[in-house]
Amino acid sequence: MPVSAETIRYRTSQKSADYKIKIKVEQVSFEYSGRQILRGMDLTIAPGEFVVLMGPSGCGKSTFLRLVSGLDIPHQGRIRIDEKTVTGPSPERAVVFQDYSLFPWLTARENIVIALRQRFPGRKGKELRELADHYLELVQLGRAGHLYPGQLSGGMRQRIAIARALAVGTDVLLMDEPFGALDPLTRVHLQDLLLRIVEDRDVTILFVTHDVDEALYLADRVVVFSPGPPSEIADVLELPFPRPRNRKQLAERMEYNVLRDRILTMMNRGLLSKLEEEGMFEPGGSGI
Amino acid sequence: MDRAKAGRRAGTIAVVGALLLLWEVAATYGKWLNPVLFPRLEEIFAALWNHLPDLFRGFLSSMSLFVPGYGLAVAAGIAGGLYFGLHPRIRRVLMPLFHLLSPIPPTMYIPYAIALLPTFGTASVFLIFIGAFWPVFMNTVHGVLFIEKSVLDNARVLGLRGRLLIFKVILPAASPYIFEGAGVALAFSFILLTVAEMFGAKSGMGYFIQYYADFSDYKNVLAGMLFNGLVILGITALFEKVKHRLLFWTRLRP
Repeated sequence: MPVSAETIRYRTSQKSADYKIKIKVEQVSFEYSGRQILRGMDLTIAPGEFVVLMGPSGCGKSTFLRLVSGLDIPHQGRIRIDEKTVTGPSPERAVVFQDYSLFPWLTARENIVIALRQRFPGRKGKELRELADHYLELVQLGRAGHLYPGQLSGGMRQRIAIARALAVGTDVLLMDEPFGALDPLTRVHLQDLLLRIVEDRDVTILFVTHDVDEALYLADRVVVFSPGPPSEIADVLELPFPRPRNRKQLAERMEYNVLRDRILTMMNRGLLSKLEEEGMFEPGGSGI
Repeated sequence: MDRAKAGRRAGTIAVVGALLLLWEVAATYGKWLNPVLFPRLEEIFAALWNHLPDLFRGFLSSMSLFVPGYGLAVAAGIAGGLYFGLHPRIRRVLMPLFHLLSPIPPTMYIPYAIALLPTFGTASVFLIFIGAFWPVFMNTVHGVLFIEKSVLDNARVLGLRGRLLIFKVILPAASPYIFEGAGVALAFSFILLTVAEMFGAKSGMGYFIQYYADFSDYKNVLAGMLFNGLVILGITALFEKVKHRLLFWTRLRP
């Protein structure tokens, strides 16, 4: 078949268009035991973008993340990553869960090595251990390689999970409230560490959190879910803050507080409507 | 801490000492006790000492039945348990059969074991195998089924497959259940070993006891029981040590 100038132009233009889309969520709906959890979700994420998902609890943020990871499959619509439809989990997408990403019977190093071994079969054990140690150093845990998850604090465990995610060389990082179980100080420290690590890497991040300040500090965009079920995307907020960000200066900005209020209002509205629905508030009151 | 431990140990020693003293007093002065059935302590210990080479040979003979029987049962139980744990369709078909077979007391296989197998040794190994297999097998199946979803999610996310998945994730995750089954199997094995030896063997720890019982030589019977008890205690302690070591991570959970 002769290749005309036009087909070439078509191909290249399509390629450059693809390049700007890393993850494309198209009309995705999900049901769980007959109940609709997510409805008609549409979202496009650019490569290297840091997208934070927020919403009242039980709105399906974690479910959404599981769909992107491939752990669950949408009932309608599809999710495409690099043009490929997600049909199941893949080591090309790393997931960091709230507090159970590591196998408790393996040391910190072994937890990373096991992932590397699957990803790079045939490589020598020594090589993989060195690679694991390199990534442990990256999260400032170079000396904790021989310790087991049960011997480490929650913050250290999350750092190891992040190290593992980066070690396997994924460019999509899915994080489900990764700092949710940590004390505020550790949380702030890990936020900074995460930003520093991904700064010079081409990693696209989807990050679920309950914490508005965490969202505003980390995200390029904040996606707010409506209270479900079924949940929909209620709002997408583009954050106008340049990087690198300074926590203190950020909090002093007008836009910061406007955005913060807007997100909190949406979260609270969701919370209140949910309580009403469950009959906890009965306006008018039927008497005791 | 250490003081409390020392106190407990002293208590144990005191109770054992008191029991031995009671035995000795009763055996020496108690006219109502048959001296043949209740020999004095020095006689028992002398019998134990004099028969140590005998008993040791009996121990080796017993191990030649116990090790293959128990070893094969643990290997087959874990392998089979993993297979049926990981293959839900075939498991659902065969599980009713397993539920039917597993509670049959292994001693009920004795007539068939003797009729079908050529030697006493193979029949005994088979009997120990049957007794030890089911607890290991059933516990392994349950251990695999009870693996937390989060563990499996992690394995799936990392794309773990094949040997890596089995040996680094499934097996360790199920290991608390497997050890529980293996512990029950160990107790069963000793019972079946002794039963087999007391009724059919020409050597072994159980045979030693039965042999001297036939002559009403109860000091040797008691020496044999004591030796048997110590061997079982030793093996069980070894088992517990291995279990403690391999399951140490279950005690780390904050």
